[in-house]
Amino acid sequence: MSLIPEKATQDRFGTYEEVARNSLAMLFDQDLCIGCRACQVACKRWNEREPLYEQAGRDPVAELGREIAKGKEGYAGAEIVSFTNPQNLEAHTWLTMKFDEFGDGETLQWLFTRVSCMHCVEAPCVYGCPTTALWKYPEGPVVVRTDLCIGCRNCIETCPFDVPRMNFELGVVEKCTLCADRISNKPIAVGSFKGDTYNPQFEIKNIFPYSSHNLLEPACVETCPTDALKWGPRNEIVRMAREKAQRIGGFLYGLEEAGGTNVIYVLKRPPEELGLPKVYKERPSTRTERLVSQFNALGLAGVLMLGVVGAVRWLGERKNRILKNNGKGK
Amino acid sequence: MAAGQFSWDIPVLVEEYVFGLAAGLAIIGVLLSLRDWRRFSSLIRTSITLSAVLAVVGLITLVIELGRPERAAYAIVNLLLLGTSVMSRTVPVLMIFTGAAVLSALFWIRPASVVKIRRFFEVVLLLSAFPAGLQAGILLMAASKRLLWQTPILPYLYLFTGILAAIGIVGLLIIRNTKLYEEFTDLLVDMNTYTVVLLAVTGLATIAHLVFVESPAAVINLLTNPFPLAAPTFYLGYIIVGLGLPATHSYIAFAARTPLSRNILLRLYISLIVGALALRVSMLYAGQLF
Repeated sequence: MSLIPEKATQDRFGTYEEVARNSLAMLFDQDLCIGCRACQVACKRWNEREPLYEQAGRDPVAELGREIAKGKEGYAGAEIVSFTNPQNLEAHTWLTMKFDEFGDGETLQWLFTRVSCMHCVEAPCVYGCPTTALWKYPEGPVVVRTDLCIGCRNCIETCPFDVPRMNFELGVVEKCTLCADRISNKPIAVGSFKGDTYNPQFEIKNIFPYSSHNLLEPACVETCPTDALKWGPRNEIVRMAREKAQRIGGFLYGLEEAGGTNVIYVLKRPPEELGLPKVYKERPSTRTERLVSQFNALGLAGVLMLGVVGAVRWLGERKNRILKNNGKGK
Repeated sequence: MAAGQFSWDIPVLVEEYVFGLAAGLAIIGVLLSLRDWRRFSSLIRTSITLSAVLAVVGLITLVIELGRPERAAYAIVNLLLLGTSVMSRTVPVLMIFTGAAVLSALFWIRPASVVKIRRFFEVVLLLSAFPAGLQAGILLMAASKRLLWQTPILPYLYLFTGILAAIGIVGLLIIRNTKLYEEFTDLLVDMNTYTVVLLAVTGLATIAHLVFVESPAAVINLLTNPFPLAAPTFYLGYIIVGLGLPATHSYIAFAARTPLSRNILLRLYISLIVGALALRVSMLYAGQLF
């Protein structure tokens, strides 16, 4: 028996296969990114996020511990000496571009990596949230509904990409919404005129929501001047990502990580060199169910073992009692 | 979270520890009650009352550490209506456990008055104490980002160490009073036997947990990273003080079949209480570095 009730499975958000097939997705093409940070600005402006004036609440002991555990922030254990700014995500920074320099012979190569929510097809944070504040929409976004958030930080501890951040002022968690408010704003088309001059009526029809031509794209995609960010149906984005990666001999990130995501990267270097987290490939529900079944099996084995030990002890005591009584009888 | 901070810090540690202790005390209290409630009444009353107080403290800590404590009820409502979160599956168990502990403690004000009803609540308390003791481990196990916590053994490790710490507290209750010490000599011998068995099982479970962790780097970090006191707490607090010292002492007592001197027992029981805390400190902080 699983601890996960049936109604809590992915089916609540559309099946895994449906979301993977029908949802919309974003492509980040590192080959085309020029590091202009227009996406960061667009994100701040559209979502009305405050600028970060100073790095808040650093804990030097924890930082030192993390440095020993994982090396200094940056790629391959190297300290950040680049122009990454802000240096990490925080409650008001939902997207930052990581700047990495790579020496290649006598040339210096700059690579810019998007750091933001990957909007997993099956999101572990959604499974960790005890209030359904985190929600996966069938169009693709994983959104924090802050009016439901209790600030338990379970999502922070479940997100393998280290994305959700606590807003201590509001006591809730915040992160990128994939501009759910924009992409869900289905444009309407005015059809034929039906009424008359005194009572004008137009036939209003929704344009098919998954048409990438007629939707409002996420703010970062819309503002990208080099088309390094693309937006469209996930199937199409996956196809484009594979094709581009093959063409430039690049690396894909997000296709398999955590069972697949709605933001897919085409990278010029291996993800680990760019400081991207190494993430398990299985679906989060499969992973959790496996752990829970093993936990149940261990418990059952323990109870059985205790039962056997108890029965053996009881039988031994009973035998002794009978022998003692027989001895008395004689 | 700002960079470098821990998302789960001291309040979560307190909650994990007090619920572990409360569950252990409830298990011991109810088992003593089932064995001979008249003889052990003073011990049962104290352990069940202490369990209830600790459970209430744990529940309050759990709510206060939320970013929005006033919305805590959302978690309960959602759990009952939708049940979407694996990590909060144990929330109703904690509530049932706390309720049963408080009611049982109330019944122990006059234990002879309504024995059958008291027994009913004690059985509920016993049944809910096991999942309550496992709860902290389940919470960590379900955090799929943290590789150090990702084994099905961790919840049992938390349960066993919680019971061991509770044995420490009950032992302290006995040895602090000469009359009780002399009266419950047989109980102390039994407690030593169970301590030896539990320590052996806990030691094996610790090894199994470290072996089955998916990432060796996460284990090496636990064993080598001096910040924030992860490795020292694990070695000194858990392995040496929490497991090694009590194992040696209780084995000697187990082999001798007589209780040790009160001074040695005092050290043994304190080390059991320290060991459970040290395990939780090292696991919580070292886990969050990976």
